[in-house]
Amino acid sequence: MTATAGLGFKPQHFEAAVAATVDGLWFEVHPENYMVQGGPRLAMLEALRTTHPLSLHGVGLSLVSEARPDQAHLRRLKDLVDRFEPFVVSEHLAWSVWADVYHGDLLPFSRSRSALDAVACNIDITQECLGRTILVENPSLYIALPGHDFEEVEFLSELVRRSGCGLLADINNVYISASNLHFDPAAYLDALPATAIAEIHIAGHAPDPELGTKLLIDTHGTAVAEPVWDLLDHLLRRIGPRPVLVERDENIPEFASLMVERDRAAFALAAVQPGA
Amino acid sequence: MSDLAKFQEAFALALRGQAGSACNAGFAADTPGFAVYKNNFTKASIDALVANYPTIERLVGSEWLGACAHAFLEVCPPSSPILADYGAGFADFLDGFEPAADMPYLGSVARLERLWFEAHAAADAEPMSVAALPRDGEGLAATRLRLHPSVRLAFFDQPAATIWRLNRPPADPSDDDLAKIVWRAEGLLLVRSGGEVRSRVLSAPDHRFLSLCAAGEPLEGCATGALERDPTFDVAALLADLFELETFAASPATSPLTGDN
Repeated sequence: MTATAGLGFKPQHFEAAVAATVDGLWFEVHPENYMVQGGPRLAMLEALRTTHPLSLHGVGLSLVSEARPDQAHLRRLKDLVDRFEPFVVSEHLAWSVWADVYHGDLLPFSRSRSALDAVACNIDITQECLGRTILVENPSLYIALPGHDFEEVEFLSELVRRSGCGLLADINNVYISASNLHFDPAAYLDALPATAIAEIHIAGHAPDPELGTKLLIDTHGTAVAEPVWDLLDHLLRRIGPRPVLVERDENIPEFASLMVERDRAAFALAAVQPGA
Repeated sequence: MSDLAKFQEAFALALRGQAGSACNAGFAADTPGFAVYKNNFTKASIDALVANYPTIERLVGSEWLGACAHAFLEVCPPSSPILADYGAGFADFLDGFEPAADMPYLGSVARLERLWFEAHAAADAEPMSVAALPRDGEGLAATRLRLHPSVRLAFFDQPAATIWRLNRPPADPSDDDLAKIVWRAEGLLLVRSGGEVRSRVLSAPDHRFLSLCAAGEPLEGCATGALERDPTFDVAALLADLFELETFAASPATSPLTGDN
């Protein structure tokens, strides 16, 4: 698929989304919201994918775990992948499930050698089951942990090398982690293996209500911040065009106002198209 | 236990407010950074429960339900990333929730919310047309009707079904509507047709009739069972309503979806 700009799909935008004829527009959904047996949710996704390319962005596989991915969850994911034929399937470098509790967030860990083995194994199992490669997304980090054997970029690069997975570069997450943990976001992006990056996310964040900008929170509840747009340009100049997604999950505005941000991403992509 | 597993166990406990082993696992649970993870976990769970029980929210208000969802989270956190499915045990929880003691119907209303979700998410199937019923009396009596996969049935000794129907958003009942609620036993049929979950209040014989259908009884047996509850039971009137609601699934031989389900 050519590298164009997409939008996180929200059911309340269904009619406008299906009717949108903008060149290159695609949509991304969380597969967990469509893991049902039948009914209007699946019918809606079926209609959407007949008009636009679709991407599945999982939040529930909990890849960072010595336990293997939940077989029932993986089977449901495979059913959706087989039925809706997304152009890309992605997950997170994080965990969310422990002792049969789902924690509703993408949780951190120490990037140790044994963790690398565990995550690489879980990516292998997932890709084997789905019969295709997946992309792995860098998380937003709020606390520094001890016990790292790898920088995050090294860890991700090693996963790419071992499993053949691709990367989903979430620039908003890089910006948040860099701000909270005090590193240079541009240097982080510069170190990501360019050929592995198959999708880019941008989204809005917010300062902590009490600490302000000392602690940035990945809310997906506001417009994309200017420094994130700058980092998008920065990354695109190095690696060239890739599918870019505007994510929004809280304070969801009208479809048209999200499309304004999506069009700005399309504009950023146009600037780095070969021959531009 | 590996370092990763020890860390995850301590982190997961700290997310639920038990921070005893955090320090040994290499993180401090009393920092603003950790609070972000904790808030995200709590908010995602509570938001999901509130979203899954809109009628309860309408009946008790957002603040009450938020506090209740918090108490529920402590005993019953989500077990799956499918958050639309969160809260299967919420009705039972409400039955024993002290602050809900003066709303004895609340647990039953929550049961109907849960059944609504099940009906909404159930497998697809071609509905049976009334024209597919046998024309002769003998054939009709022997017909076993298959319920649509989305059909859910309930019966309560309180008017929970009427309370649920009157208050399920976007419904906005007037005081007059609420004053007309008759305190009696009644049931509810939920069924998805045309992509929407529809409902019909059931009398005891209606419910008996549908329960016998669900058990695979032929029509004659279903009607006899209902008539035992009420000799004036009108099977033709109920059947007309049920076919209008697309309550029955087409027989496998005539269904284009055969093999897909």
